[in-house]
Amino acid sequence: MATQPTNLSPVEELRELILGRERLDIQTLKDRLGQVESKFSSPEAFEHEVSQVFSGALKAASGAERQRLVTILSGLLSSSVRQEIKLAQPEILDALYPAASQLVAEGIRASFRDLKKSIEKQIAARLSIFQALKVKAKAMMTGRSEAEIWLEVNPPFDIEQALVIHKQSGLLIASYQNQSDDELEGGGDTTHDPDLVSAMLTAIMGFAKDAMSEDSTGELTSLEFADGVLLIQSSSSVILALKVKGHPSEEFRDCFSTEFHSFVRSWSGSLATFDGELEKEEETEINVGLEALIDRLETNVERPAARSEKKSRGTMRFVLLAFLFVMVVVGAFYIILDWWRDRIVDQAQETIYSTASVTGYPLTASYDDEFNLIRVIGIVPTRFVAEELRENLRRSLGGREVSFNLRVLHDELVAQTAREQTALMVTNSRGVKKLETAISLLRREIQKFDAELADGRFEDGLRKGFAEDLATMGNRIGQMERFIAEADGLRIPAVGPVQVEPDEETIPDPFTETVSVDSLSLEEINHQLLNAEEASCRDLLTEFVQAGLDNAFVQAALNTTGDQFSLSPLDFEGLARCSTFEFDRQGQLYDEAKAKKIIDALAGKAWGELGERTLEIRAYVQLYREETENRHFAERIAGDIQKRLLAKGIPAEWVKITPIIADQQRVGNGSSWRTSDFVYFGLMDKNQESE
Amino acid sequence: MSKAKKICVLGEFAVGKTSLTRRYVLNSFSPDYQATLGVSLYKATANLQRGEEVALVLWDVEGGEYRASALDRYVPGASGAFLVSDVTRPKSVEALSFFAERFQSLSPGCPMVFAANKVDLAHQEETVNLARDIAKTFDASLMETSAADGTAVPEAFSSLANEIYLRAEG
Repeated sequence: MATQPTNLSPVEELRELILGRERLDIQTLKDRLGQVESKFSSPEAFEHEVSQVFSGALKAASGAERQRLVTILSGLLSSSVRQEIKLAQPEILDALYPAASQLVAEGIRASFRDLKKSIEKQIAARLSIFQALKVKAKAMMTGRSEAEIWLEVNPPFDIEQALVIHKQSGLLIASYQNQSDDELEGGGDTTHDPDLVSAMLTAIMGFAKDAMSEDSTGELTSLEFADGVLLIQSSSSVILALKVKGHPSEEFRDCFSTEFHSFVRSWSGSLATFDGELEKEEETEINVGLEALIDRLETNVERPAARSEKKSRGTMRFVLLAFLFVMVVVGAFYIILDWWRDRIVDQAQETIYSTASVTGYPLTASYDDEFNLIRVIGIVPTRFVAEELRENLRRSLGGREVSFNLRVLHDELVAQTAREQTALMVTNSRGVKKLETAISLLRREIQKFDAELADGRFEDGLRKGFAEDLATMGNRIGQMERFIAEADGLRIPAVGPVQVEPDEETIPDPFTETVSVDSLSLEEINHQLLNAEEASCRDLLTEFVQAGLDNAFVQAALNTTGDQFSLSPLDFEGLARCSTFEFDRQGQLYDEAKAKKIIDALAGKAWGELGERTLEIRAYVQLYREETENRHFAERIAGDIQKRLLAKGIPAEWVKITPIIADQQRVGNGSSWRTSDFVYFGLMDKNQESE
Repeated sequence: MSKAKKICVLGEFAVGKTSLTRRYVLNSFSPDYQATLGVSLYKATANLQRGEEVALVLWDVEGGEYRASALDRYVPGASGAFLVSDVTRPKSVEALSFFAERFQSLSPGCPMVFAANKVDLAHQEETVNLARDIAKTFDASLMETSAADGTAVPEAFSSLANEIYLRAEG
């Protein structure tokens, strides 16, 4: 190799020959190092260079050393993210909101679906009217919503999952997953592999047994979560784990235990020898058995709150039934008692009605609850009649205790009436006797005259005329004799005169008064009555009565209830008009002073025969509610009126006092809680029956 | 017919039991060491030589002879055991005997596969031979494995799964 002549020293030339290449390389390296140094000499330049390769480097590292990269970056990123969240919460929330809100919404929806399903299930299974009312009542009392109380009383409870695990190996033998829960979770959660759960549960149980249980025979029986419990039952070879939502009652746990032991007995052979494999048929049978066990738990065992609810409901039901039973018995007893009493009272009243001698007399039978006896109250004409009535009632009521409160009309009055009648009959008899004597004398005169005619003392023509006159006279005398015979009742009775005591009071003779009455129309009478003063009322009444008015029902009612003593015309339709005066039922209506006035007015007038009519005084004591209290009150008033009228000497047969029960609807203003009892007196044609 | 078998992964602490298991189940590896407390559970599916699939529930039990009680708690019911040693730590190999004996007493007649792990770090012929000798004494095979690079990991577990069924049929 030829060499170029140089001006280098030999040493330098030798150095060049030996180290020239290395020198060149060093120079190249220096240049390159300078270039590199220029790239990394300042932070900005270094950042620029690294940024160009950083993404590529990360990409390469994520492939080859992904795990290491993740480990290195995770701590850094976690701190960075935490710091960033602290510093820029609003921005991060804004960024996360679109995605997070959807997740939250979906989570809430899932929870509501779950809750709704649970509530519907419970309501369908157990909601009764009683329970619903109870919840409503509690909600009203506490001011909380029904749903809140319902959830409190019946928290959601559901069987979610069941695992049959081989105890020694922790291997899963069979499992059950609630289908609806599975659907709610979107087809199952792959992170909870039943095989792994089974194994972990077995491990936990082993750990708990060794570490926690002083008693080596003790086993873990449950694991509680916030919203549920994992119930565990285990035998020597098998573990049955039941995951439930909500909190089971002791009864549920007992039932679960019973079902587990039954399950183990059924499959003891297969379960004890399980080595991780099952024949297909055997596996199917065990799974079917597990589902049947779950069904029994779901259908036969009450949920926790429901059990206590059922207990209390059962108790309440028993109490209610007992109460109802007692009420029915007591009610039936009283109904029967009332019916029995009514029957006895009806029987007594029927006996009174059937006793002819008291017809028309105010007599009432009632049952006295306090003394447990029948009371008969009223007025009878005589003591004999009273005794007859007593005997009749005792006989018809079969010896039941009867209390009589009978007022006997004054015997004196009866005797007085009889004496008057006797006197009248004596008078009549004398008249008849005289008439008979006169007739006899007349007949003898006729016979004598007839004999003279026969002697021929008169001319033929004259004799013929006399004979005809005598025949006519004989016929008329015969007619009179027949009348007398027909009027035989006017003769003095064969029994002789009635012995009576002299009457203390002077009874006015109804025949002595004479009243002249102008004929008036009904309208005119009504008009005059309505506008009449008290004094003229009495006169008008008398006039009307004595006029023998065509309308037999024209009556004069003396109303005792108004502020004014008034007299108003009444027919039965008019009765309602009179009832416009209303009073409470404490007896205010019965003004004794006013009643006395009425009675005096009535007693001072002439009653009796008016033409062909026989009028009577009727006093109606009217009440609008058929209550014992009212009835007694009416009877008292009736008795009082009768007594007063009789004391005035008005013959008993002219007086009729009738307590009547009026239709409540006829009360003027329709008030149903106030009685409008009143008393009215009237004159009535005896021949015409009143209603 | 579903099949599942329980397999215990046993050995001294820090020999790579969890790493081997995770490599097999998750195909992942972390050089950082985190001790297992109690037991970790994994599930994997193995294909048997006869063409069937079997689910393996792997019980990665915490290591250490001083935690023998953990073996008593977690081993019963296992169909096979994977006994792991660290070739870089001869003492962990020596401990294999203890774990093997313990396993045999708790699950008599069940197959075991021994693993000489961490062969990627250094090939310690002597240690591996020791492990092989121990395996032989228990009539078991030894697999030289590396959780870090995945060497022979699937084969080791598949071997154990097949052995379980062969032993059961035999």
